[in-house]
Amino acid sequence: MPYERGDLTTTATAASVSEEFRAVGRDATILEWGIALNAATASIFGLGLSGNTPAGGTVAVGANTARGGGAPGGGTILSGQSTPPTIPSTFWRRYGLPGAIGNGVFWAWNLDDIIIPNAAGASPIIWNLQLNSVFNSYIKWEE
Amino acid sequence: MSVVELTFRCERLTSHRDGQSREWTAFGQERVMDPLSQEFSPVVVATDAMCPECSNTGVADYQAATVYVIPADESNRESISQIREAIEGAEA
Repeated sequence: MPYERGDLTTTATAASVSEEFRAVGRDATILEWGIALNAATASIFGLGLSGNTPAGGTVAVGANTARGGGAPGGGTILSGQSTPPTIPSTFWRRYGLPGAIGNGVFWAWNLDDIIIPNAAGASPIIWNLQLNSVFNSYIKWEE
Repeated sequence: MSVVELTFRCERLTSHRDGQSREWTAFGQERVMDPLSQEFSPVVVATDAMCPECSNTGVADYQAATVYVIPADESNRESISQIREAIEGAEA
């Protein structure tokens, strides 16, 4: 089943997680992840698996774009984890964007390139490497 | 599957007229097993978890388990109906 979700992140502080994706109830595979600046702040950030197993928080579940039924799918967590994600030991991708609203980037992967186990380990995250803009973001995934 | 009262908070200060955070309460039904803690986690309908001023999904002040906010759309119709019934039953 395909899912998508768009968010406006809340945390812009340096050395903190901007957005976490967590699988819920079943494994997920991420297909696309995109962000765009919502403030005119030059931003440097990285994408990778958290160094720990995050827990708690409020998971904003994605919309099932095929309009199928079923249990809640995976979703995003912007802040408020009881165990927040820590910095990835290795970033998959890093990026810097000049400070103008709307500057953005998106990443795409093939099906099953990235499999997120059902909340049993690290989560893919966007990590603020400096004081950044907040981001308009979207994620597309399959479960 | 009991009903729990949750306090949500929105910290998107720049989106609020007075620059202050917002708090509101909403009910969730414990209906999803958290794979890590093995505790039942509350599920809340998105419209209940939405900040009344900026429409941001708030953060629940709930440490016992993860809170899940499901979209209020057709694909979740059955779940939403059951959650609403449980809340009405708990309030009665």
